[in-house]
Amino acid sequence: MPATLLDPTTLQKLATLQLRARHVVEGVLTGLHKSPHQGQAVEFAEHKEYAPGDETRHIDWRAFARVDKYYVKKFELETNLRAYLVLDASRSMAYGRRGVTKLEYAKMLGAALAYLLVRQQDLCGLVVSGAPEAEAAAADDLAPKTGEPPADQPADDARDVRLPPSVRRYLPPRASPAHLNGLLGVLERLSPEGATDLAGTIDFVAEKAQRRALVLLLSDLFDPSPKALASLAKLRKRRCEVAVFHLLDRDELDFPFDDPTDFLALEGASRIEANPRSVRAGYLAEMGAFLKQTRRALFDSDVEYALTPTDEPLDRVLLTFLAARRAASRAL
Amino acid sequence: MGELAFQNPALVLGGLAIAVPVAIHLLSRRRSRRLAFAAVDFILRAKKEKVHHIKLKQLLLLLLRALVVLCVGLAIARPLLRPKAAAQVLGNQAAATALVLDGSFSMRYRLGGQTLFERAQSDAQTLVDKLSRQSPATLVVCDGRPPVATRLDFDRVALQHRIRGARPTYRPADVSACIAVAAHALQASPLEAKRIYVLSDLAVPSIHLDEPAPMISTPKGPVLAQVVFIDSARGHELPNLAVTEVKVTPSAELGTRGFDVAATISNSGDRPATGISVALLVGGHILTRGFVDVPAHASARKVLRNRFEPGTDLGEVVLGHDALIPDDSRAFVVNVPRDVNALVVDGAPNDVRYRDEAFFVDAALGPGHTGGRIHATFLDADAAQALDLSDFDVVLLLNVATPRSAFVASLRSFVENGGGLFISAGDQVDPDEYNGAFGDLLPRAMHLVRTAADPSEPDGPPPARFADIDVTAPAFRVFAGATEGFDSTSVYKYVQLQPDARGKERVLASFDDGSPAIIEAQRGRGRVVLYTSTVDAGWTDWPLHTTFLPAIQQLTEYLGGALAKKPPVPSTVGAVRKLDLPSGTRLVELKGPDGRAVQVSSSGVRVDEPGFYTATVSESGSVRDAPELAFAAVLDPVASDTRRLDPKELAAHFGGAGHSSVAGGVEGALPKTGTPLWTYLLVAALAAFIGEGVLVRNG
Repeated sequence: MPATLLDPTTLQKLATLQLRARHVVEGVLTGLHKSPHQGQAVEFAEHKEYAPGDETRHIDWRAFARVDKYYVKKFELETNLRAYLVLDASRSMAYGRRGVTKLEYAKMLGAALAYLLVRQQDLCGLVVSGAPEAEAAAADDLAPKTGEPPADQPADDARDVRLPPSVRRYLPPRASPAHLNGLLGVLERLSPEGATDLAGTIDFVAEKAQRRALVLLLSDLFDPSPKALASLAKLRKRRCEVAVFHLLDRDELDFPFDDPTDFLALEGASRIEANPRSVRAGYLAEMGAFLKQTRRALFDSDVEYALTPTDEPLDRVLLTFLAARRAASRAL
Repeated sequence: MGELAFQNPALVLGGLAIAVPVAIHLLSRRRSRRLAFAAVDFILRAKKEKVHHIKLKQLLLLLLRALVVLCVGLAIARPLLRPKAAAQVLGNQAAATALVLDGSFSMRYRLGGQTLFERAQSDAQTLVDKLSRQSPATLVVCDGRPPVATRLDFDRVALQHRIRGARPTYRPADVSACIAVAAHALQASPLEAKRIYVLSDLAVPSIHLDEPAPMISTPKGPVLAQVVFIDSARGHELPNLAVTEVKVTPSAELGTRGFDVAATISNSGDRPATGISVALLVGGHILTRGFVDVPAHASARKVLRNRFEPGTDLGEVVLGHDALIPDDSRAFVVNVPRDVNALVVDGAPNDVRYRDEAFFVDAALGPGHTGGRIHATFLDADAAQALDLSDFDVVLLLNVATPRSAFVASLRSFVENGGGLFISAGDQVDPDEYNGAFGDLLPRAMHLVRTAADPSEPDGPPPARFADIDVTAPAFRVFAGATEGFDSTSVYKYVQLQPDARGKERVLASFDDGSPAIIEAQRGRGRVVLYTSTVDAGWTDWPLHTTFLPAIQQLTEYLGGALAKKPPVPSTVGAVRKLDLPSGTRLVELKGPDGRAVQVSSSGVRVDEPGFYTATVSESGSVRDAPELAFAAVLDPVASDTRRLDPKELAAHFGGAGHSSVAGGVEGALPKTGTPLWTYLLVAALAAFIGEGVLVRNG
């Protein structure tokens, strides 16, 4: 486990907190999923045309009666929770004038969340957004055709997944320690690339996520397309739990610049030479409107929202998030 | 079109300092840091227009800062915009230089706290200071006297001393003649460049544009002199009101001792003057005052009437003061005759009034005809001889029989002390007895009574007539040009006189046969007049003619020393006045208007200042004032004409561009002068600096 991504002190605090929670209530982690019951459950997933070798007890006879063909019911094993970490790794996440960049912060936060999830036997997947070189990314993200998968590459169902251009990497949810190591390895090697296309990524997640999945989005939401918030709302309608960590650098919130500066956009070719003193008020107004609009849209969609400046301590962010989850579970 | 020049050319390089703000601008642009930023779209949306503003503002800031540095840098170099023509005329090379300093009366005009002459004097001194050391210089002070040029040399100290010692006069000056003298003086210099600076108010009377411009002889032939006028008035008009003439005449309306004082007021200004106060002063006291309107560039006449006191009165007509004070007043002298006490001794009184010997004389000397100036006492011979004659100024013996010797002695004493004696003939007068009694008191000894004609015999010999009237004699001056009234007079009988032995008497009138009719002689301080016929109609019909009454009046006033005199003609400043001293007197002192003694030469006195001149004389060992010698000195009206010449016309007359120019001051005439631009540059720099500050503050 890369020590750079998981601060032992932070993890120790979280672990202690989790243990304490599991003993005090039915489980703090119940706040992370709908079902308070542990153990396996069988749930119909889809039909598959019968092929020799399939168990006959799974043949759907009703379907046979309607279409005069044999279809085999396929069932999925439902864990306590299937969580998807959706991490925005576009170039806009590369900003971080002081301390860590937004992407680095997202990587640490995502690792902490993954660690927390896997540690309590929840399945945790990873979706990395942002891949300008769609074909290369897709080729890279496709599972190898032959041989053993690398340590950080799940070898199962990810092989058959063709990623859309907006998704750079996809790791299906797993709960094994090896999977966690692979997931953290992927996070370790992530670098900011490409433009933001959150809508496409979320649509991809919606396609993959089952009902009651937990989708954790870590992004600055600097998506020029207005569809991202709509996609989140659509995801929420699919009865997925959605939480958004809106990662912003303190500079982006306060715009503390004084000297004339040539601002270069991290995404696209936009460029502006400006005297920050003269544009600060306008910028802050625009940023305030953006935050307000985002918060309002997500609130209307019942999406949990947390504005997370990148200078915020990780433990505080996690505790705040968990406290909110617990409060939500109590309300239910 | 002018040319740009710099007084400190080396400092023009200071303008290169403009590179400093440009470099700063470029360096600051380079230092404008780049920052990869995720929320650039928010900046763009925030103030998209600000981007253009910033670029424009930065460019504007660069321009303003560059302007500040450029203007200050160039201002240090002191740039000038100099007319090409002036530069050509007023080059800084060595040149023989003549200064013509206008010292005419109009230069006394006060403008801006100093007179034009003081300003011209200062200009001249500045000019001399700025002349190159290789330039010989001369000075012509143009003050109305014949112009003389000082020696053309390099002695600046002496030249400055002469300029400081120059004084304006009260006379007009012929600046054109002075320029010609200056041009002539410059011919002595071997230098090719020759210039004449004329420091003048450019008054119209001073410079004659109808005369040719002065030429200077050079080895190449005569060339036009380069003449630079330095306008002491600095382009200002010089409005001036002046009393240019005063005429004093007896007033027909006021009667005796009443005079009309007619003043002519001239206006040299471009605007009419209205409600101008005109006051008549005598002895410093205002006697009367009037008001007059004077059109622009014209004159108006104002008559002030006043009854004067007997004697010599020194009067002035005074206006309200303007910038040229001396011509706001004009002096005059008027001699007012005093009253006369006359004793009329009637030698042939008659109860029938018109047959009385004094009948016609009574009519002549009555108040109705003399205005009361003659107080006549009529007595018969006996009564008169008992009187003290000291109460009288004149005694008229009308056909009086030979008086007693005591009375004759009184008469002699009376005459010798200044009294007047009039003797008329008649049947009571015996020539021989008269000769014996009066002796040399008579102008001429009587001879016999001649009967020229008998009025009862119309066919007889013709009567004698007045043939020759001496109108130059003071008593008969009033008849000048009007002696025809004597022509028809008939004299039937008269006393012939003996031939003149001494030749000192004066025949005022004679008959056609040459015999004296009226004869005058000085006796002591007094005078005696002998009329050889009668003052009644016994021997002549003259009393019936119109000339009789004024003749008797004039003779009485003349003998009484109170004959009305013409006002003394005033002297124009600059002229020489000859003093007519009374006989037996010697001039002790003549005082000028300032109360100081004036030098008097044998040819007279040179009048240099306007005002009153009074004299004291010595007579018979005693000193007395001599009011009869007092006179007024007045300004030449031309001197008060302050109209100014058109500078363009003036320059054109002296050759125009390249030969002549008119400058508003020494700075304008100096070689390096021109329109200074550094003030404008500094103002522009200040404005740019303020603008830069505003931009920075708002940016």
